[in-house]
This record gives sequence, C-alpha cells and structure tokens, in this order.
Amino acid sequence: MQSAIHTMNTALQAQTLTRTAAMLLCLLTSSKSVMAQPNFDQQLITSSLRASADPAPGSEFILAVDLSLEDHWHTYWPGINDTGYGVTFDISADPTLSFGEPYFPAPKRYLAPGQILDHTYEGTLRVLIPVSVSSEAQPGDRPTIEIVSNALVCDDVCIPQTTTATTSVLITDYPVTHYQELIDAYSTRAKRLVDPDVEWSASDSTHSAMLRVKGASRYQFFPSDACTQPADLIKQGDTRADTLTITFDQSYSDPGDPIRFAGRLRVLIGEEWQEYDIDESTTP
Amino acid sequence: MKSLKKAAFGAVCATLIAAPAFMMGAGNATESVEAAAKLSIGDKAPDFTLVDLNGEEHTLSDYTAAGNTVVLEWFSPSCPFVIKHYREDTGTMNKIAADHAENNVVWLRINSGHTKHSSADKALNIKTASEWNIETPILMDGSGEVGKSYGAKRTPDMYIIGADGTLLYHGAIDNRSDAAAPGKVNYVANALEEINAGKKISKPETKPYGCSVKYD
Repeated sequence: MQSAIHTMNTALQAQTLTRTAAMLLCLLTSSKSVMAQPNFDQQLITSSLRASADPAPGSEFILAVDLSLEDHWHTYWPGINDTGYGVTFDISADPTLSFGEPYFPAPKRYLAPGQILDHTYEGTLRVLIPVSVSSEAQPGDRPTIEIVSNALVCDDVCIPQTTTATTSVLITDYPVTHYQELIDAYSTRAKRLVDPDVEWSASDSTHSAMLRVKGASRYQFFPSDACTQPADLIKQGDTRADTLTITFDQSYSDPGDPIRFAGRLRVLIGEEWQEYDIDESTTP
Repeated sequence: MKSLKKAAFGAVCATLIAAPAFMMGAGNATESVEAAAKLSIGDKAPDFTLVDLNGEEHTLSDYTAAGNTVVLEWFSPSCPFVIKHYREDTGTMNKIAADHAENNVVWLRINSGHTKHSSADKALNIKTASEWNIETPILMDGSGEVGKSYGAKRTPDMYIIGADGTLLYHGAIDNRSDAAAPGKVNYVANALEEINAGKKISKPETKPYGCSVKYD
C-alpha cells in the first residue's frame, strides 16, 4: 500500500515537474512574453496623403488621409467611447486651400471584459477631407499640405502618437483627376437622415429615442461627441429589430440641456448595410 | 507551415498553463464579459479587502468605520492619462492626496489589470510608486473583481466614498480629457473641499476618461 502511494506521489511529482518545465519553456520561448515591457518609442501608426485631383481655382478636391496601424493595435472613433479618444488632425496649408469636416468611416464595436465598449479601427483607416480651392489661387502654384494626425493607439497599453504626412497639389486651369475612387467614396458617404421617424419618450429619470427606418432589420449606432451619453450602448447600440431604441443618461449633462441623438448609423435593409448620419434633439 | 507549428505550440502552451487553473475551478471563458455594476450616487459602495504592494491588507469598511472619506483611484502605471497626473510638472494626484490627508481623507489606488498585463506587474508597480513618490497604497486587484463591482472602466476612474460608506462622487479627475496636461477644473479636489466644508457636492458625477481597465 505504502509502495503504491509512494509510486503515485512520485508520478504526481514527475507530472508537476514536467508541467512546470513546459510552462517555463513556453514562457521563455513565446514570441510575446506576458510581462514584456511596452516599447513607447515604437511608431505604431503612420500616415500618407493622396489628393483626388490637381484642382482648378474655385474647384474642390478630396484629400485622403490614410492611417496605417501596426497589427493588433487600434485607435478610436472620434465620438463617444468608454475609453480613449478619437483621431484629430492639425492641418497646415496655403490660405488658398480651405478644409471641410473630415469624414470617418463607421468604426467597429470593440467589447472588452468589464462591460467596456469602444468604437475602434484596426489596420488601415482612410479619412476623407473635402478641400476647396480659392478662386484667387494661381494656376501653376503648387501649395503644400501638411497634416499631423494625433491618435491614441492601444493594445495592452495605450500610447499617444502623432504622425505627419505632406503632399502638394498643382493648381491648373483645367482640373486633372488622379484618383476617381476618392471622389466616388466621398460622394457615397453616409448622408444625414432626412426627416427621420424618431419618437421620443421620457420617464422621471431617462429619455429614450426610438428610430424606425423603413425595411430595416438591424441597426448599429456610433454616437458622435455631440450626442448625449447613451445609457446602455452595449445592449442598444447593435440591435436586431425593426426599430432602434437608445436610452440616454443625463447624469453627465447639465440640467436643461436638450437630449441629442447624434452620430453614425449602420442600417441593414434587406441584405445591404446602409449608412446614415443622424442629429436629432428633444428641442429644435 | 511555420505558423501552423507556432499555433500548435501555442495551443500546447495554453493548455498546459490553463489546465491547473481549470482544475481549480477557474471561470468559464464564455463568461469573460461579466455584468458590471452601475453604481449611482448615494448607493452603498461595495466593500472589499485588497492587498497592497507590501502585502498588507486594506478593507474599505475599516477606513469608513473610522470616520474617513476614501478616494479610490483606478490606476495603471502604463496609461498616459494616469502618467500626466504624476509627472514632475503636474503631480495632481499626490498633491490632492497630501492636501487632504489631514481631513480624514484616505487615498487608495487600485490596479485592476489582469495579471497577464505588464501594467499589473507587481515589480513595475513598486518601481513606479517609488519613482512617482506615491506614498499611499496601491492595491492589486488582479482578478478584476473589485473593479467590476464598481463598474470601473478607465484609468484613472475616480470614486469618493463617504464615511457612511456611500458613493459621493464618481467620474473624471478633471475636465481635460487628453493625455497632454491636467484640466483647469479638478472635480475630485473640488468635491473634497465641499465635503470638508460640510457642503453638498455640486458636481457629483462627471464622465471619466482614460485608458481601459485591462480586465482580460
């Protein structure tokens, strides 16, 4: 009996030793050590610029800011996130060029443990900016555009980074299109929902907006910075139903502020996703 | 082929490492996104006991029962939003903690990062505490249980608990939500001033900002 117990203990010890050795081997040889210190000097996001055309005075062109992230790293939608902040741009250019509102594509929902919901981008993010050329611009001029992109880039840790890109456009008498796809992409961007079917309801402590888009079977909602804080975007921000209900948490707003339902919508109609912008409030 | 080998090797590693934890009844992976609390102002704050970097236990209710107001700061040594409040030119957190230490205010930092993340490495936290001149405890919550019971999502995420054990303030440390510099309005300092003066907190809830708490 004692011999059997001894044999069993020896076997268990051997098994434990084998497992410990294997764990140590795994930890030592894995490409990403669990306790690896972040390299704060590594550039994790890069950028490049591309203009749709060499424009004529008084015309408009589309500027694409292409941001590329290293694998496994993400950055943020410039709207409401549980954590992090959205990409911003510092633009320097000749005064004959004026820049419109950057257009960001719809992000992805990133749900992390602890009920943390962020709206993020991975891989390559293309932001489109409409640029107007003053009628005072002179053909033959070649104004330079510099854009510094500021992004919080996160994986296991978060690192604020900047990346700078420059390009120039040739002012011509007759515009020359180089990248038609940028013009097409901008012209098919999400448009504001016209006269949306929104029904507001209120209880003592909450306000809700119920949106119905004809033919819709699923909705995804990405609130902009202007939106009143949604109360439960984890449940309500991605809904398989013919209506979208968003409940708002007014505790972060000043009393008396209107409730604002604003941001990007992805709506599944039939088998196609369509994108819209929405900006509705309880008081006009 | 190389990647397949690497994946297979990784799977073996994961199995070997995970096996003992599984046998000890560790949580199911499908439950990794647990329901988080949404504490409201005036709610009873969840009690907890956590161990600091020196191995000493700290229990919230011990502090409140002794008549203290407790500030809980969700903490990460790697988060730029935390770092900006500990730089030599800012020192926001240490300054407020020191300013109110004599007003029965206890300042506890909680690191709810999962132990697999470098920001939850004990040695790094000890080194950081020394370099940042942090004199009050950093409590380690590697399971994330306490963080989730409070619904803490960010670092820093600030909670003030009154001596009666209720939540008096939740939100941001201040009104500037980038990683560059502290804001001009410090909500926590203002709330502590109001508590000390026996006033009602004028802004008991603000929107916290920062990095995500790395629960997994």
